[in-house]
Amino acid sequence: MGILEIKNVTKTFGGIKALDEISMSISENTLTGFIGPNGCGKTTLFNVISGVFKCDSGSIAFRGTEITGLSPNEINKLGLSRTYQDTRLYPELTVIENLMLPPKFQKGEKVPNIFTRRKEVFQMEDNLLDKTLEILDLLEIRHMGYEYAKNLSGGQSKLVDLGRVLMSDPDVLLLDEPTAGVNPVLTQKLFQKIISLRDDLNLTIMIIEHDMDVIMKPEVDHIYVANYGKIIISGRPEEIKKNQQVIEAYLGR
Amino acid sequence: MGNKRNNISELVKKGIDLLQLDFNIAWKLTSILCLIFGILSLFIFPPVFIVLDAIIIIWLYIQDTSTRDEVSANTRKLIATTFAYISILIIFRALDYTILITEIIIFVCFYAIVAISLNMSTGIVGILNFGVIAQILVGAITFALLTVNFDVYIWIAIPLSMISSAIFSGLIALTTLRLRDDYFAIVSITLGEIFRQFLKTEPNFRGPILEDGQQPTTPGILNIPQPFKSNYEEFLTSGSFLAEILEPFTYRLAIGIVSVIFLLFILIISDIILYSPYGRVLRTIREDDLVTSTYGKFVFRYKVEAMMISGAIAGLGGVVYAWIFASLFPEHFQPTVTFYVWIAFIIGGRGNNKGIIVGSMVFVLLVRVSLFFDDPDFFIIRYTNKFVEFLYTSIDQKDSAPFVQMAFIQLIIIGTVLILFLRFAPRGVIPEEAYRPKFRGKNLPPPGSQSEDQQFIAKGN
Repeated sequence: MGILEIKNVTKTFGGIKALDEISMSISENTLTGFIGPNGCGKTTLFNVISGVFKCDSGSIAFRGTEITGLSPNEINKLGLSRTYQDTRLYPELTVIENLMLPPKFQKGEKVPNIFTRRKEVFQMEDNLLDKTLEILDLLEIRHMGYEYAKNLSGGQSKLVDLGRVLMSDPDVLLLDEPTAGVNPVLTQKLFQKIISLRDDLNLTIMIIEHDMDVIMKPEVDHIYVANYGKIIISGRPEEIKKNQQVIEAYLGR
Repeated sequence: MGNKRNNISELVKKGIDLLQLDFNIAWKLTSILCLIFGILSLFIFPPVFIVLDAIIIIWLYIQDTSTRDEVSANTRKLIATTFAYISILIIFRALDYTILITEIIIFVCFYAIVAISLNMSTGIVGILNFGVIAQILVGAITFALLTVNFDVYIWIAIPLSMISSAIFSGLIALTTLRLRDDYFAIVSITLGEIFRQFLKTEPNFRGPILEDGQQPTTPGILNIPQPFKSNYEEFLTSGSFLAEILEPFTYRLAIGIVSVIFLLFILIISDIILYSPYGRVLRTIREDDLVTSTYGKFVFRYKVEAMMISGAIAGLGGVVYAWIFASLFPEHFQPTVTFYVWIAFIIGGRGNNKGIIVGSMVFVLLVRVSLFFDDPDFFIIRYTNKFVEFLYTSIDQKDSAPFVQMAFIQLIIIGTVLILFLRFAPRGVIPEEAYRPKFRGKNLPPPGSQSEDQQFIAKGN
């Protein structure tokens, strides 16, 4: 029984079947890759899991509790965070402010507390800023903290996005192409970072990735390959590499 | 001589160092001084204090060596506009237009309070709120009915009318916020009109109740109690020195003072909300509400709450509105008020309360002052009418040429100013400031700086 159980999930847009009876089981404390050609429904699956879309049929269970049909904020509160493919930072806010939003249970997010518990709220903000600076240092983007998010380059905003999702203290992390547009050296670093997140913080991570050098590493526990909204094969990276179907559909000869 | 001057400025610099004042705080202190001196010179004639004001500002500007970042630039802009504005008021004082000055003060406060409420819903959360007049109306009518028909003490009626406006806005948000942005805008525009028609026909919303217990037949509420009315008028006739100075401003100055206090109160409350974690969530909702909800925030709750806060502030604006006219009729709640508030909001700058006050100042100056010159012999009106006459003569309809009043020209002026601002300062006079917290020396490098790697490469190593 995995931490995230997806059973026969179907989602259609008009006549297109984006997800066709997809079933998956993600075990706790693993790094799972999810690959497939463009338009095979990878992001749609993330949207369905995180509650952005409602699936037509099927069920999703997180730690044994049913989360199908819950709203995104409820799902996030259970401990599941995701990133978006096009980063979706808040453009008119600074990087710091982007990072300071996700933490849960902030006292200052209730109106009465702002006035009656000013000290506690300020103390919490102070701690939050410490944590933010830690994450900025970890991703080596401390110098951009005061910058508007709209002024960042594509790769930089990917980093900030990763930082933002880490700020939300998730148990399960859905990463939608976290290394697209990041330079090769940093890509390797980032991936090492993601692996260490699994090992040190015991996170369960699911990752959509197009870079085969990155995703086909032995550290990756499991890989799902999708095509036309269906899982065509799943297994260890070594098995996937050899599979004839995958080579035809995705890797090329 | 020059040496001596240098010595003095050295001394002052040392003083600033000793007090550990940075120039940002120095500017803020100056703005307070500027206000106090400005107000003093408004009442005590000749205006010596404004000259002092100017000297201080120019001197500080020369001395200021701080980095010109966004925040201090905005503070400087605020001081410059306040200074210019008070100077204009002092010119009016010199021309003995004392009533005009009080009108300007009252209306600036009214528009600023309501525009801050609009900022709360539209500028921060991004709800397209065109129902400003409906929110004002609920506050104003609640206040008027409570005080006139039920004899509630006015200082109790004020919070009650704020609460009623907040509840009203909350209900509107609950029922219609699920609509898409533009549809919500349409719904909110119609609300004000619905309420206005309702006021025209509903006999229970009339006052005061006649002696035989019957409702009056004409729509409207008369004789709304104003604050400190009898006290202030007693004070004016007391013949003291202060009363003599304030005498030409009449009782309406008292409304002005009370509304200035209201404005300061609202400004402080609203700024505390804006620069708190709560305000941060509201701003992220404006930028991208889906992402905010995937980070565990219940977006709908925040939107409804923000509308309620906005409604409470607009309700207070409604109380001031009731005081301005002392009697309320359905005609006072035309939808144009909504758009006037929007103009003040756009001119001032989305997201920044300081800017919104500046926007209201500019807007009220355009409206009230132009109305004051509503005189057929005034040169703008004369030439506009000649031009209209010329146009009508050219199509042989000279007799049917209308007479153009200031009220029409005023709309042209406002429209032109709005277009100019949208073209050249789309973010407003004082734009929203970036959030760059500085806690206990945990400062980050300023924006635009490079990482160590980049610096290393840039050095050519």
